[in-house]
Amino acid sequence: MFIRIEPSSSSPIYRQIMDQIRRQVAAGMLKPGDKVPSVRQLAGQLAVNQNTILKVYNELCREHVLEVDRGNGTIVAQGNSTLSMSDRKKTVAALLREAAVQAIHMGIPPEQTHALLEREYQAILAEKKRSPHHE
Amino acid sequence: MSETAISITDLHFAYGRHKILDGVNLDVPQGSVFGFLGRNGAGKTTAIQLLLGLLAPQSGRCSVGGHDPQTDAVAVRRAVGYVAEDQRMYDWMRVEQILKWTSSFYPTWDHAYAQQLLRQFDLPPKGKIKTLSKGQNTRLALLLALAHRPRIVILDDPTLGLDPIARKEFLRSVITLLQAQGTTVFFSSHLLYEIEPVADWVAILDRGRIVKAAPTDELRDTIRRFVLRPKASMDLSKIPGVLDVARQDGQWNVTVETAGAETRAALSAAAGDDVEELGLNLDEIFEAYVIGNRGREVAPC
Amino acid sequence: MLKALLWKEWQEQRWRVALATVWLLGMTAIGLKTRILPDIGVVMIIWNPATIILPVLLGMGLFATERKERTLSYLIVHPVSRSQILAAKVMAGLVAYVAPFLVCGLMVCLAVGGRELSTADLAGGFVIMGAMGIVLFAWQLLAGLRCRRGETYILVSVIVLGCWGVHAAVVEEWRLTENVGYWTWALNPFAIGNLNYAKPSEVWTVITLQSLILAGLGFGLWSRFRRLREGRS
Repeated sequence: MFIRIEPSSSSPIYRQIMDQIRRQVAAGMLKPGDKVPSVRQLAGQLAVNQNTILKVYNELCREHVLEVDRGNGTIVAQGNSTLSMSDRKKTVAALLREAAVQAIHMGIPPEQTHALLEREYQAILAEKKRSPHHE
Repeated sequence: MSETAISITDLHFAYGRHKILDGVNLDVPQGSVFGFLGRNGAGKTTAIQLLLGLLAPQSGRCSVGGHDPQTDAVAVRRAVGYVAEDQRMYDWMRVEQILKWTSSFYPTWDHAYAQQLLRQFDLPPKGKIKTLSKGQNTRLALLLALAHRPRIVILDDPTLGLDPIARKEFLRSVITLLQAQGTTVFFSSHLLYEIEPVADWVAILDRGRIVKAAPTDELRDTIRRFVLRPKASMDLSKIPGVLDVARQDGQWNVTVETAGAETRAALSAAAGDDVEELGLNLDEIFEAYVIGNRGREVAPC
Repeated sequence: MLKALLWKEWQEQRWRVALATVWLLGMTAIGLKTRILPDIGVVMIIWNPATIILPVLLGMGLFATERKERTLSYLIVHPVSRSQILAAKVMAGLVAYVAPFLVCGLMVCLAVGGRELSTADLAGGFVIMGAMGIVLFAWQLLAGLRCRRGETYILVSVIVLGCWGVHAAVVEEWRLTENVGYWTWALNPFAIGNLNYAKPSEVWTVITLQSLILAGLGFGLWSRFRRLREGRS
């Protein structure tokens, strides 16, 4: 699992890691059932505090991106999330709101913002299609 | 066993008439990785020397691992692994010689562990210390500090002079060897971007005092910068928790310590709704504390 | 721990000791063999300077070089009391000083004892010179403890010697021993060197005073070393 941390970013480190894991799962680079490194392993690999990694994993488990497989460590969540659709929508809505705020600040009109969202969505899906051959 | 590994209470230290520490208070939780930040010359090394009993304070108390360095310095040093800034050891000794020599000072020395670290750090046992590279020298110093399995490790700017790869490796060792074992790590540095990924807690020493001590994520969450265009003039030093204000072309960057309701209200009063909120990285947070003007003179950006 | 400290000091000083032994032995052998001077002359000329120079070199190695190499701060960071560190240094210094004397003195006594001087007289001479050197050593260590460089330590040592030299000259010139008493001379370390020409009562005065002085110097050294600020300022 390849994760890159930018130390001088204004985004906190835990958020950077979370975003990258979510992205890799969404793009299919991490498939459901894949084992992710243990907290200690990832902390050592990235030279990041173990508690930060723990926080990341806990959050991602809450979001059902990852789950704990008893006896096997932490794995990418498999299929049916136990979060209700409305909860899942709430999570995504929060992220979209932030994006909307940025778009407004930058003076991008709503139709173009919609087009952007569509384009990014398609790009991720395309990556996902490519990924079964990606090892 | 107390919950704080290291505690400092109202410590004062002056070198002649030059006051270096002016009432320092600090508590380092056991098992944490604690980043001790400050500019060069702020007094970080002095504070550490006081903790080890190498200096005597004018007033105040310290407790390290339950021992008072002023009354029982030897006990403190036995319980603590210490890596000094730019550690110079006996050039003429071989690596295996200095291992054996150092082991005689520590009853808790673990020979097997020392050998394991020797292999892991890739150090030549028969090599003379004067032939070691800077990176190897630092790794050796770390080995000597860890081999007696201390509960507390104090690192004084240990990555000084190391290349970026060696620095990363050093921090990796800190995480995998120390944090993994529940050892308390007290780590002083002025390389902030380096401390942030590894530290649980951060304390900033400036002008002889601790100006901020908080968990690392709390820093990011509570210290925020607001960008606004004020509609009316106001006394910026009155904004609750203001650390720094910079002005450029009528736009103000107001950095505050706690972005609570009161602060937001004050800012809205000044600029209405046109207020943008930003997060800061640790460099910017540090600057705000150490060279921030507290709103008193509004300097251009 | 003391063993480890002693080992370290010994590792650092042993080359000086070897050099001193070889030099003393060599020079004395040449002098005694060629017989340019009477035996006593050879011993005086070669050994008196050694009494003065060897402590300076040793003292330099024990403290000043450690401070210069910044290894003293490394040493005192270890969980060992300063008293033990000092004790190891003083012990190592004494051994390093006495060893060449002992070895060479023994050789000389065996070689030429009874030739011009009796073995007892020769041995006595070595003991006296050795003792004088030890007291001078103590003075130099106390004065030069805070020196950060070898050269400074040498300078301080020379000044110490100079002061006692001046004292000796003053006592001589103003005949202080007759006016005030023998003890004004007995304070001087060089007084030890003249013990074989002194009266028994004077010998005891010198021995008592110098022992007291040595104890005082030792105490001064200990308290100064304990308060030494080491590390960066």
